[in-house]
Amino acid sequence: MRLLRYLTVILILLPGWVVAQQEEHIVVITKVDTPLDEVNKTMLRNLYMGNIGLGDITPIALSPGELARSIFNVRVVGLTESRIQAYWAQMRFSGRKQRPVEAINPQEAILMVESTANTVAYVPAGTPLPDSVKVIFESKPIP
Amino acid sequence: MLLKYRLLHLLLGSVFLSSASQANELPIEISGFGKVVGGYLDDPDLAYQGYEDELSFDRQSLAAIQIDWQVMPKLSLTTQLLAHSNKNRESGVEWLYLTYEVDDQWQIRLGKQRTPFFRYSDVLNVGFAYHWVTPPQQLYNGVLFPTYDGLNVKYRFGTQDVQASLEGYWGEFNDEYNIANLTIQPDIKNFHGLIGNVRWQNLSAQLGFHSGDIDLVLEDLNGLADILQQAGYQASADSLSTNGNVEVLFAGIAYHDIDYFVEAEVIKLIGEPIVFPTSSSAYVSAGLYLPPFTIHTTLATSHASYPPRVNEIPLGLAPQVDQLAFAYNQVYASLAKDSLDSIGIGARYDLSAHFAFKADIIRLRGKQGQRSFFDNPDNSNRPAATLYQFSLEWVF
Repeated sequence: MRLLRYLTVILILLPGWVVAQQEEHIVVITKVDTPLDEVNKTMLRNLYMGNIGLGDITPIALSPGELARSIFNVRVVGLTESRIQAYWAQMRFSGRKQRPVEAINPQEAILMVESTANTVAYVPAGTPLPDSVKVIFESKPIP
Repeated sequence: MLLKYRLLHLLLGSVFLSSASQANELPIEISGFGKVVGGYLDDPDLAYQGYEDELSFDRQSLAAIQIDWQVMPKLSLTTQLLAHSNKNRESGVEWLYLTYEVDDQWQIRLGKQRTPFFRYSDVLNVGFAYHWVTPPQQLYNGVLFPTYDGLNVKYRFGTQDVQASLEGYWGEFNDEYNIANLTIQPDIKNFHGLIGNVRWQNLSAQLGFHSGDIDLVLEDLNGLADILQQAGYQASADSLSTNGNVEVLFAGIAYHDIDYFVEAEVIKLIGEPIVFPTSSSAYVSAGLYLPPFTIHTTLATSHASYPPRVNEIPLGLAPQVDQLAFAYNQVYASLAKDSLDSIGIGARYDLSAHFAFKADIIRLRGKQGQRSFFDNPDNSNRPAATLYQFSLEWVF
């Protein structure tokens, strides 16, 4: 009975979560002096999945549970959170790659980008940004 | 009870080391994984992977910690300590190797490592990394050597759209492990392999080749082969050889999209030693991502065969020769063949970024007169049963 109630709650909340993801956007930022002015989805996907392609650039992700992380996973990486977690478990425990460093919220991500050269992070679109960072990618609405 | 103590020991150890590493800011990272697996087989006359017709938790449950020590900026030491609930599985140091990251493209590892036979071979114990409770036994059955001591070199390259890697390894293996109910300790020299991996957007493909020279001592079998040789039946003696080359060819393909996936792997094993029959195995698995659920189905098959027995020992010549022929034929009749078809359905529920709950139901259908990966097949019937499994898996 409790399981049924739980499933009902999930089914009620799920459409809201999907709509929220469709309406929300993210921007990808880096420090102004990073020699990177524009990136595309493929470059970001490679960067955040540990593939080669962007040289010395270090990615910063948000913690699981942050809405911007879900939007980034769906719109840019193209995988669900559970698949990404399984992927990183495979990479980590086969000694292949390390998952990106995680910031606990967008404010911490901005501080990390400001203080460290050659890092990129994603934050919700509309987040106030200091002059020391620049936007290099913006997710587009799903048509 | 033993598992409980081991788990407690591992957990306390990891907490202590985490605290210590944080306090002193040592370049040490502690991570770990584990799973508690319950299983039940619906046939009272059969056993499969140790599962019988009563609920059992001690076949596949395990806990492990991994310690990564960044010795220098490009050099790290990794060890993985594993405690297994199954008394037939060895607990202790699973891995111990040095990694040298030459640059973004080259990685060199030296030490005791897991053998990267198939897609999930090197994370077979990390259930969180895949969708099943247990990967298809037709491939992931433990017949092949789980680890090796040696050198592994990986080279990654590619463009923005296509990413690729080539991995080569060379080493040896000399350790005890189990094939079904048989414990063997092969001495494997010149153990090497080459694996290619290509990824294009959501599609990835792998090709692998592995080879090793095996020297295995099985006293009864070797004794009979010696007698056959002394009696002049060289071809019969050679057919019982426990030495020789084993080769494995592997191909895999996977497509992971935002809301579905398809994976398939196929292998061909060609073995000269009599305990490694020539076999072909494959599976195809597909599923839907319905966050936080994943539902999936898997079809798997394997076919094993031995070369035909040598008919060079004449019957009716002398009682001793007849006995020799009888013993030789008995050996061939008792060779275990693992041909098995299965169909499974399952679900995974991701409780959080670190915990997942899984449940699988697998219908197993063996071949009449064969072992078919069952522990105690009844040769007069076709072995068939349904396996129910569920698990709680975690990583930290």
